[in-house]
Amino acid sequence: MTKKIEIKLTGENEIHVKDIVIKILENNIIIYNAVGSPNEEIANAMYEIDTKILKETKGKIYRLIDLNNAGKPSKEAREIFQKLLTENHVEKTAFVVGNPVAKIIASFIIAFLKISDIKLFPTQESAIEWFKSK
Amino acid sequence: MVQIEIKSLRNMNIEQKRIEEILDVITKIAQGDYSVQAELTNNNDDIEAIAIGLNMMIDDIKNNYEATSNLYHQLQSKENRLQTIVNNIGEGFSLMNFDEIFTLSNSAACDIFGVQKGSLTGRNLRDFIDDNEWNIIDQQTNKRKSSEISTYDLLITLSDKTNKNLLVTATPNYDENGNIIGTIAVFRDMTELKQAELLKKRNEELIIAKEKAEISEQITKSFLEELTIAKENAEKSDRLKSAFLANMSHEIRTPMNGILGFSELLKNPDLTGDQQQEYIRIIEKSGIRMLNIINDIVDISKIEAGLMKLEMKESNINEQIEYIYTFFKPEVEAKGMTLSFRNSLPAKEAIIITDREKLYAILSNLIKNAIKYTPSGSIEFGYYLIDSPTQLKELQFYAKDTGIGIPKDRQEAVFERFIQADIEDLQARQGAGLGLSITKSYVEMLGGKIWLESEEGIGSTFYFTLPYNAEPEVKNRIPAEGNKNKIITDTLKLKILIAEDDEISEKLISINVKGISNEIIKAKTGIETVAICNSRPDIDIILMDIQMPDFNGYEATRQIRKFNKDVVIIAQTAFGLTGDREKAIEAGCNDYIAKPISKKELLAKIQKQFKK
Repeated sequence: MTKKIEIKLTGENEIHVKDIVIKILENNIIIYNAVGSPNEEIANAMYEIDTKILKETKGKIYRLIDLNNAGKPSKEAREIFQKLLTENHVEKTAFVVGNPVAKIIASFIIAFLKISDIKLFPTQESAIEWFKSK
Repeated sequence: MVQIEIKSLRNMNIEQKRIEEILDVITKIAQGDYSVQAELTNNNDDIEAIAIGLNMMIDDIKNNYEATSNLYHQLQSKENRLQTIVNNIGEGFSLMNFDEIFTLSNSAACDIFGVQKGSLTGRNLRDFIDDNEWNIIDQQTNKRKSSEISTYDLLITLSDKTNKNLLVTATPNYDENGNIIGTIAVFRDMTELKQAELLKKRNEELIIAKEKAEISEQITKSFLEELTIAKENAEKSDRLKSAFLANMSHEIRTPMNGILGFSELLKNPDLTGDQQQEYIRIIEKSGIRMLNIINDIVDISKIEAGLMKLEMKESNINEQIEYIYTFFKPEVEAKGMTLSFRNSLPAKEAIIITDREKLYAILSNLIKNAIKYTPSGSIEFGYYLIDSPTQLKELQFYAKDTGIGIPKDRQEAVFERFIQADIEDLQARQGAGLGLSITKSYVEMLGGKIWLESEEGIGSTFYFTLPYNAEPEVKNRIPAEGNKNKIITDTLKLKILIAEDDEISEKLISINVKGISNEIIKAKTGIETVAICNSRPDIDIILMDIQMPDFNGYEATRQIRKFNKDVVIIAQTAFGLTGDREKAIEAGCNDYIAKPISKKELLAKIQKQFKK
């Protein structure tokens, strides 16, 4: 039985799941600012939020996951993130990996996923540029 | 500067230490220890990335190892379960390759082949089979190679030389790539079942043989019984026929005695007129009696030969009943008895399709019998309309008398032919004993049945049924010919040719037609008849005997009709068979009369021709 993680709405378009902050910007851009090492509970909470957002949002959705401040996710958390990326399909998903640790984590998350439209970027800005491009 | 170098050196030492730690972790992994993790420093540098990547790889290896291990245990468990199932199968179960070598066998298979558990594997099926049965194995192996499933009988010989009958179901065994690699065989030991079947079959054969013997015995017994009955019947039949012949002899001789005796007496010239009339009346009565006997014999012969035909026509049963009543009334009243009848249907509903003559014969015979066996009292006859078990309604006729009755034990026998002749008591009356047998045959021919109710000393009632197939009344029906029309022949003066080879018959006809003749011409053969007729076109009528020398009457008629279509020809024959009339008409005759010829009937037929 996994422990339920508290989800906080800190602003009109901002949600906190422990140390992770989720923001919804214009043009349906969802930004996950990952902080620390997510375990299975955190990963489940994020999956739940992501599923709800996708269900309630109309039009094309863009997902941005910033791993610059993330630590090593547990094996279970990694599998849940892979499930999220596979099942909750969005127009584009960008990982922001500005350091070697973030790159390694992103590589392990997206390894073996047969999904197109996932790319790695050094900054959030460059990722958003990609979202806006055709 | 020095501080910077010192700091740089320190950093180098720290990084060197982190790398050494990572190398330690890798060494442990190489030794199979997946519980280790590289220590993390929360730096985002390359060494930290390597450490995190290494830790994540360790996670994956651990995870894969656990998954593989679980899978292995699951497979092991499944295999154990499968082995348990295979061992617990009641039938022998084996896998064999195409060289017929057992690669897997359960306990039951080992038991069947008489080897210790587990020791069938590696043995060859051919080790248990006689050389001359190997062709069965070759055929079956070929079938498996063609993906064929089959079930076959196999006789095996165990090491102790005992034989077993096996039923083998063999299916192809495929590998994971779908290639056939051998046979999956299920063996069932049928030895006991076969022996039981053999025993059962032998028992059944024994039972059948016993039943056959019993049936044979029964048949023999039945045959002997039938033989006895047949013998008894033959004896009875012989006795009946002897009695019949004796009775016939008596019945024919009696009227003959009357005819010849009183004819002799008539020659006496001293007889008074009354005496002469009395003798003539006796001769006539004897003649009628003999004619009746001859008619009965002819009828029964025709029935037996299947020559009796039906002439189904419209018939008004009320008229028939009334006619019979009128006919028999004087005779009944002469015996001091009363005769009555009952018609149950109105005239318009009393017309049915039947053989009028047969119905007349049936009713007449029953009334004649009633008169014969009733010394006093009354006779009543008639009919009712009744519902039948079938959808059609029936007419139930009856003839009831207050006569002597019939004993219970003889009531069925009265319908058998000749039976009256077998009655030895005084109740037997004159007659051939054929009347009721003929009556019964007629009733059955007309689709009915006949039976009787009788009590000795009280009387008898005979019943018979006929199908009620009512016909709507036909208007302007031509009135039936009968006594109503008085025969007027006085005005006829005809030229008559009598074709007759028998002198007495010719004489009788000559006398009978004398009163209506202008001229009587005689011919004794068919050729002579044709010749006379050809030379005398003025002849009005030919009374044509059928049985004549050379041309018979039919042929003579056909010849005459070739040149004379107008002359009236009436056939006269002693055959008295049904169909004679049709044959005569077909040959060209205008009418037909049966011998002995009644003057009244002959004149009526002649008058009918010339009345036209």
